[in-house]
Amino acid sequence: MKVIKVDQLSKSFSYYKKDVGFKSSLKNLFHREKLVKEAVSGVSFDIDEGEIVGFLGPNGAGKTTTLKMLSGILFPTSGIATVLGYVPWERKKDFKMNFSIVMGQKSQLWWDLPANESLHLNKYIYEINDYEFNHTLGELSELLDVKDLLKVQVRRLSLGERMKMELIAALIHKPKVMFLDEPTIGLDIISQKKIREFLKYYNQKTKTTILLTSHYMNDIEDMCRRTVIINQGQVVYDGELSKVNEVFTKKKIIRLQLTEWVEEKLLKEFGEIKEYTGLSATLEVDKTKLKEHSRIILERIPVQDFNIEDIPIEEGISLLYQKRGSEG
Amino acid sequence: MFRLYQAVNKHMKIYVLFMKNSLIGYMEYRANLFAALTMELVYLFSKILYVIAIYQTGIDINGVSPDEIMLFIGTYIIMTAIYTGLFMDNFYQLPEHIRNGTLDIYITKPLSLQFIATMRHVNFILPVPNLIAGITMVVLACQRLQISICFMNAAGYLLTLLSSTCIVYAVFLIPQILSFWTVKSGAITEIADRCWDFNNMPMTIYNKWMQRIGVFIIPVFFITNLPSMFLVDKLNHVYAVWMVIAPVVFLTLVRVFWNFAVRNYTSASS
Amino acid sequence: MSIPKKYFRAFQMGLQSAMEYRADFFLSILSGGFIILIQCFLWTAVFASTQNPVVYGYTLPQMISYSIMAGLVAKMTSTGFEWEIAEDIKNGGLNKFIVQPIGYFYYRICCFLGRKVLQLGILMIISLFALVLCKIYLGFDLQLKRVLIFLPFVVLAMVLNFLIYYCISSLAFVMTEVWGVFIAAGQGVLMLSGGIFPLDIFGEGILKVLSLLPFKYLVFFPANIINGRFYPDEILYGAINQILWIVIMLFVSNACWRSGMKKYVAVGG
Repeated sequence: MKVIKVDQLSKSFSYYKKDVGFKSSLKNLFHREKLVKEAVSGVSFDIDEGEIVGFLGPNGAGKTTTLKMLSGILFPTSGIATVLGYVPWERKKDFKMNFSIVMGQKSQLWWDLPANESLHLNKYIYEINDYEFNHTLGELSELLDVKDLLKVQVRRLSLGERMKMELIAALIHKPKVMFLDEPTIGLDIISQKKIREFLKYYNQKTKTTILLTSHYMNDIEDMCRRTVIINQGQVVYDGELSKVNEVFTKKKIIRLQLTEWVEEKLLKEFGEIKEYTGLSATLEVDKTKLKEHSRIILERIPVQDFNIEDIPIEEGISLLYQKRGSEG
Repeated sequence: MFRLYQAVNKHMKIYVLFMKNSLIGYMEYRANLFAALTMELVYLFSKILYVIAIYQTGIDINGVSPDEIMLFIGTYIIMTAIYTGLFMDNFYQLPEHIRNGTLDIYITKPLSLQFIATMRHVNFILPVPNLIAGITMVVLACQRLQISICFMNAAGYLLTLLSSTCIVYAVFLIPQILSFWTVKSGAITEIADRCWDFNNMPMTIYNKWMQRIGVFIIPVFFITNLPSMFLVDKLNHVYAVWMVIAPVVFLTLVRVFWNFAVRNYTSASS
Repeated sequence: MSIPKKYFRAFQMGLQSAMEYRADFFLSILSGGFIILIQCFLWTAVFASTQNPVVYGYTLPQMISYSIMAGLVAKMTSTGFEWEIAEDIKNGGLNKFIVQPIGYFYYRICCFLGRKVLQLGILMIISLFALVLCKIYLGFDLQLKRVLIFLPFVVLAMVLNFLIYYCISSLAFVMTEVWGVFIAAGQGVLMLSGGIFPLDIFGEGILKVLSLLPFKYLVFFPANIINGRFYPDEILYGAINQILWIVIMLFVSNACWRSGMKKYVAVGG
């Protein structure tokens, strides 16, 4: 079942050009130059129930804007989207009761109060009965290992602990869909990992559909089987992250350990040399010629160890970022 | 109908929680609390200064006796307490919520956005001195004016205060809503706040046209004049009817304006 | 830099920041204008409702001119640097004055004067305008002689007010949340200096007590010189008192700051 359907979603907003200085301020008073920015243009994708999908893209690519439209915070300029069968920006109560959003840099917790006061407030906001509330809270705080911290003021918590509380606050009403915007931003590696593991486990256990943005590759690689890469407001890739390179690069990497000294020019004819020491080398080879070149290398060159690898995902992705959206 | 009842009931319950959370929260900043209290006390005294100034002249100003003026200023101080207690913190924070995006989170909640954004905080400490002084002055003035503090009078006065509270909410929220467009709204806030001072004195000291504007169009005079006029039995029929209609009119107005602003916010920003 | 030059630089900086905050300044004039307006309406109504031509010893034109001048003089002498000083103390901005060869007191007073020059000019023009209007419409007895005597008293009032607030700002050495005290002190000084109502409303007894304090020389005294409520010998007596208070406040502020600095250095800023 498709839980999220997005079709040609676009969002543009206008702003005014402003130069520095008093003179231009004065000029702006009478005549303002209007500029239009396309934050999201024609994004389409579907997400199945229980999927966990990563939204990857450089800063300003339109990830957060898309997420805000899907959670009803923003109206789109054009296009359609439904989440759980509701149009998000109609902001129906039933819709709000069944999803939640966590924004890494914005808190829904009351700063000066212990987290459990905020959670208790959410109990009433989401109309959860006592039994269910206590049950869910117990489970979540156990899983995230923050049972003892519920009574500590939020502002005394570490960043990682606070994010865990945000997650509990967002999941306390058992949403069917969850959006996460940069949930691991600013966290140390251990906290990042814990949060990732939790989300993965939670998704498997409850079949909650999760859509998350991040610009940490590790987040997405670790959690999401499927990745939507977005650049300059457009979807440039939709599929398994590890296969990004299969689609977009036509090269593979050959790593060689040599038994004796080989001259650089001998290796050059097989492909581009990335690394060379004389006794080892890394080559980038065209996929189409991979078989043939491999054979020749093994025949002619004194190889001790021979490895064929994919180009690292980061590289493939940065290649994607550089491309104009439409060409991808 | 049942759904409406449910919704109201839910919001009431949550408001109680808001109050509880605010109370715990304020306790956290004791130094700030004392600072605010000191400030409020000195301001209170400068309001009382007006009573002293009028009392000593012993003159009926445009037919308003010094005792009536005390009643009036008492009402003014009570209304100040209500404003600072229920609304002020929220209204001042609204531009901040817009700027740093906490409003985005509120939008996704299955609750009225306007309710969360404008009623989340209740200040219990700041209004206390004003409340005590205001009530004392009103009671004292009633005794001197020989107005019986019977059930009818008390209930009527409370109702007029309720009506005024609605007006305060509407009139002082509208300038803050402008911050959806301007982000920086310090100047607007400042001027709106100064308008509050016009309530310092009974509106009879102003000319007829200013009175009409201040009651019917920009109802700042409404806030403290009408409740006091009710007690001294000077509320004419037009004003009495307006006391009932005005809250409805201005709350609707502020609601429409709020929706318009939020709609603009959600379609114009990114 | 030579000694006078660096202080001149501080003066210039004050002037510049006044230019930058001109919006704030005009806004504060506007909001101050509201209060003056309320006072004018109030007193007009009071005088219209009584047979007596004199209330609290003032005629209507005198009362109106007092209300206007009190508001304006309060603005002329107003400070505002106490917030900056509190910031300096809280965030260690004071450190650079400990290591640099520039006295904090002199730096502040130069900044203050620089900021005031422009405001003072504008406020003087507004005052003159208001007084002439009072003369035309209310028959206020405006005399050039009084205006000329008034001017040095305003300058002295400015200096006195600077010293008072310099003392108050030293409270930031001992309090963490000093803003409430600042606002309260501002309103308190305004009341006691006659910035809201002429001090006569407090009655003889309290007026005598207030005469023993420096505050009445900030607003009440200069504003009433314009009103011509004092005899020459009273003015002379007032001038002596005002200067005496300036000297006293110099010592007091010095003492406050010395003990504050001791604490500041001990804690390590």
